[in-house]
Amino acid sequence: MKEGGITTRTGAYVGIEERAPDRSGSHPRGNIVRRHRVQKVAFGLLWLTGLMAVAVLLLVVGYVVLGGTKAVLKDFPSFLVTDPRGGLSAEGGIRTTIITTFYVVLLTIGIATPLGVGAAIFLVEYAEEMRSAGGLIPRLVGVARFGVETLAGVPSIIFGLFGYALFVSAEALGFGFSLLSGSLACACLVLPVIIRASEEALRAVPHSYRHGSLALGATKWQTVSQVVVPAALPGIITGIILSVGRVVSETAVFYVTLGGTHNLPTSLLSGGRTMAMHLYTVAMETRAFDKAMGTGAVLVTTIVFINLAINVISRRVTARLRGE
Amino acid sequence: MKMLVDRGIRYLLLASALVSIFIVFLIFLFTLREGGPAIPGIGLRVTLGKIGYPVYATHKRVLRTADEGQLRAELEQALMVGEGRLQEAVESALKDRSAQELQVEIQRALGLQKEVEQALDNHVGEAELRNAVEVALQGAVDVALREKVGFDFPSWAREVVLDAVGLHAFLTGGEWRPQHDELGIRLMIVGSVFVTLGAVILGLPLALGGAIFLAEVAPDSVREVIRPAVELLAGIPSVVYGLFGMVVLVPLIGKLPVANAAPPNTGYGLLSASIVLAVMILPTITNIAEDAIRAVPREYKEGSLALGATHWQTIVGVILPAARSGIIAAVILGVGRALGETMAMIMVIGNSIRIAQPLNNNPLTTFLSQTRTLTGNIAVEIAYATGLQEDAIFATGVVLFVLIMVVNSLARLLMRERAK
Repeated sequence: MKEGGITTRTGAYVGIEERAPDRSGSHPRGNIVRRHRVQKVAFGLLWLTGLMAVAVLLLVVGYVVLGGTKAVLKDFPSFLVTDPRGGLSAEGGIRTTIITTFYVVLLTIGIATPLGVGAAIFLVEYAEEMRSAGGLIPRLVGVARFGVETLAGVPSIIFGLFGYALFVSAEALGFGFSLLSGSLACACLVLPVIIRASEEALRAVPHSYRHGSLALGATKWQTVSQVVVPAALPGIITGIILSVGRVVSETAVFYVTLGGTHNLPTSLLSGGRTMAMHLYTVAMETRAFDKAMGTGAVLVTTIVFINLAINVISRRVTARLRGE
Repeated sequence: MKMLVDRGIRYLLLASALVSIFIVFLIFLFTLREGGPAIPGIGLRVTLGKIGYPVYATHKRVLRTADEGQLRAELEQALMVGEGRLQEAVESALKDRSAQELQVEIQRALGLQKEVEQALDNHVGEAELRNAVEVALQGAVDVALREKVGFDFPSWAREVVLDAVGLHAFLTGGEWRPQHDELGIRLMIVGSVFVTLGAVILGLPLALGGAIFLAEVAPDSVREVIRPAVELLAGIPSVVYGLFGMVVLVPLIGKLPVANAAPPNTGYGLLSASIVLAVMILPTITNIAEDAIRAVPREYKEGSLALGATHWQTIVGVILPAARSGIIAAVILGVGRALGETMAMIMVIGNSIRIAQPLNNNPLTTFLSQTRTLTGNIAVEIAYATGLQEDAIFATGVVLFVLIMVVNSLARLLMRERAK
């Protein structure tokens, strides 16, 4: 018989075990003291692990950022505004890689945003009613959902491999190692990020908005485009900025689709090198760790700013939701 | 008119939703198509009978188990096969090849033959014999392939080689030597599994401790600082972690004294990779596990506390069991992330095509062994791989994809169970 405990919602039986093994036979008060002592030790350990987890992460990132900042400041601002020498020399700065990163981000987001936001709008606003329509469409909706869920877990090198086979390889589309190939492959990578964030934002819009608009005689699309999407816009933008971060820090996809030349790309079909790739190349091929750290510092700073932007936006959204 | 626009837009949006599934399809299709030839049953089947490959395959089997007498017999037979094929090749080549090409080819074949003969004459030890048989067989196959397909190996001929190797040999083959068409990825599978295991063992205590700490113990003021910091760290580029590994961990681990190490301990290897990976999966596991712990209904906690349990007892006895499936899902997602990590792994694992094995007689030195992961294999070689090697790289991608899909579906299943 199970007594003296509770059964959780997941069906797990949870007993209060400390009651039975009161082996000492001592006063109940001693039991309480002991239990609190155990708790103190356990919480102490938890504090330790919690702070250690953060400390470890900060150590790793901090080491690179501090070392890198030194390298950047040593020849400031020439590190940021001169071109990398390329070849086996690690000399020079990272100007072209900053610009290439910017290009790639712009292109990738340009490709992924319309698709992603469109897909999210569909999944939130239209999927349910079309599910009841019968025929092929409900099945397609299910398939699309499955697609989004699956895409989110695929490792980036697989996207790279796919991009290589479909966009780079001369046997398929044959864009070669180029901005276009890299951005298309990376767009597939960030698509689920945008879709999920937009979906969440759209779902957070109160139903009363939609009902009000529809009651005023607006069509479904008018409601969606003029009421729901504007209300969800901050959330959608958060998703987009989040994927900007993903693109900036992505390396594997670009490593196999972008070619890696240190020159500035001149067209959509010319290759390039992002900052993250530059870090990798410089560290692995020329072993110029100070240059790599410098690039790392710039990269991390970029990511921090992107996160700050997200925080500011989400805070504004929360504030607005509270205000209303 | 308005309704028409409405309907049009509806389908437009459906289309964009379908694009995402289409991409999944494409990804699978393309990796499979390119990697397919390496996996029999999917790839093109070509009759093997005539082109000498079965000879090679059976002989290879013998090679592993045979004693010296058998080896000698094999060698002689192989030489005969080689000679016969060589003759045929020369004859067929005479018909339609330029003199220069021919000369190169014949010289190559003759060189092989000479090597074999020399080995047979000198026959010093078993190792050399083994090597000689290998060379002879390789020669026979080479020549046979050339005879069948001319001098420039079209792709179907390459497919034959892998088809003969088969899925089983591809997955369990210990050697990755693309120059010799030996394409087994066991060493990468072992590498990926070891490094992931190592990362989970090293990272899990910290990650789970951190999650419990953030969800239950930390005061709000601490939590408000730590939580965004951890989220931020999840977004740091993996190359930054890899760089830290190269600059700090590798020299440190390289200093570990290992007696009689062959190959020597360089610092690059499983241990460095596991540590880097452990740090990288820390934010993933912590974030998701914390969410799972927070999702436990408050009444559970309050009920337990009301019954007189301490907060710690409540955590261990009520909250953690209730959040179990979510926590396991977090760990599995961490494993998925670890399996898929590429660049940081390339930077610190050494990328050698050795299977992870001890450096000396101490089994623990396995963790100092340089090796390679599935992801690293793809990234390192795809840019210059051609032909058969390229097929095998894509096949590696298929294996990785399937592995990750299994891991992620497991996590999703658990998450769903929790949601119920």
